[in-house]
Amino acid sequence: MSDGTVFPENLLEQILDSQSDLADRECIFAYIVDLCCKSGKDRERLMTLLLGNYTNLAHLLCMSRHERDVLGIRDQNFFVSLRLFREAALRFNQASLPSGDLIHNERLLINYLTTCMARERVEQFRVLFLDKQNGLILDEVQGKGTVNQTAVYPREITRRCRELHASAVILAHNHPSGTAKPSEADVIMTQQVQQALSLIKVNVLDHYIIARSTWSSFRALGLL
Amino acid sequence: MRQKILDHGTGALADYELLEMLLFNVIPRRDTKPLAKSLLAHFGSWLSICQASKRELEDCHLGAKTIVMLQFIRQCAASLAMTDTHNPFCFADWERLLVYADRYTQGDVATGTRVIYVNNRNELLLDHFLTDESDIVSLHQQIAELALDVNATALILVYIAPRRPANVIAQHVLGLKHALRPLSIEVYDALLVGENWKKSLHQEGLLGEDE
Repeated sequence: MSDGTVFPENLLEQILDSQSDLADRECIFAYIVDLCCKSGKDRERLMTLLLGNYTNLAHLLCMSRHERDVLGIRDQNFFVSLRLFREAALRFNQASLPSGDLIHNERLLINYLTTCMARERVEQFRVLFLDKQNGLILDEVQGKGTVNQTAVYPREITRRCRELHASAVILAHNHPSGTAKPSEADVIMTQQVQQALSLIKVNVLDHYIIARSTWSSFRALGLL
Repeated sequence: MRQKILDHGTGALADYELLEMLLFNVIPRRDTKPLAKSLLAHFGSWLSICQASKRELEDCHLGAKTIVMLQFIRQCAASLAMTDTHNPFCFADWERLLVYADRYTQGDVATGTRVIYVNNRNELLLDHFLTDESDIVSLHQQIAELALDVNATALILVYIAPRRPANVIAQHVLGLKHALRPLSIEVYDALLVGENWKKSLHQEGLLGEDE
């Protein structure tokens, strides 16, 4: 390539076309390392570390500070760049959501929620506030909890619906443990939110649980 | 700017700031803010920039490296949107733990203690060698800090070729169990292993009074 990258262009095109993770992991990792790691002699060591510890691109992009320290990665630009690419990807997936009816294309919605929270290490609870056409007004993290629980305040969600003039919401939270099965506490909490919102005639369209390799929908499970 | 991101995350960045910083990787030692702003103005949105074809980007006089970087964002997005198929090692039952523990007694068996940290599905998060066991307080601190760092909800201790008798070790394990309780971290068991033998303190009833 004219500007000196060692990354073979045709291979990247192949990756970009495939839209899947079947693309060569080593090749993708080499691209990021080459792009973001400025010290040549660190690159080889970094590549060995990454290939030994990360299963795919998404996994790498979600590297935590702790993992960085354990692996002894001192290249600050590399770590920050991972965060930047992750944020860029997140904004892309959010912008890819349909501007109109959000539940019309569930696949895109799940893609987005997976991007946001499937690999988070603690639970977070999101509320997607929707307008009359079920279009997205705002996606907001309402609470971050610990590894297996999050506090949710129906009063706060109701108040935000008023502020944003939302007429429906979609709830979502992640299970870092990997299971997508709703717990009893999840079901009770959902009912509490539903009851609170029904007072101001706001519908809960669905509640999704997002896990690393799977997801579930309260609506599909008949829990709403 | 980098420090700001490390401290406050990337969520607060304006689109042009995010683009500016990404561009810095391909166009170093230059102010990339004007380019970031003009690209956003030209394409109109984050989505359009990321979806732009190679030709459309070339028409903006961008170099090959920049174009590849911009298109790479889509690859990141696709990868993040996909559910992971990676299955970590799971200590589903006692048998699995025994099979796993075989690794400690292969080859030269050196005395030492390991801590296996697991999540609430009993999946392996970290298998860590304790370096200094002389001081109980700092030992508890070391284990508690690591458990929090890897978001563990439980752990299993493995004493390899222990020199102390089982009932003495059991007292230590009970002490740790007690110390970790306020953090909701469980100590499932302590496994004593040596060449051709394995013993569970839990199964021996030595941790029994705590159940």
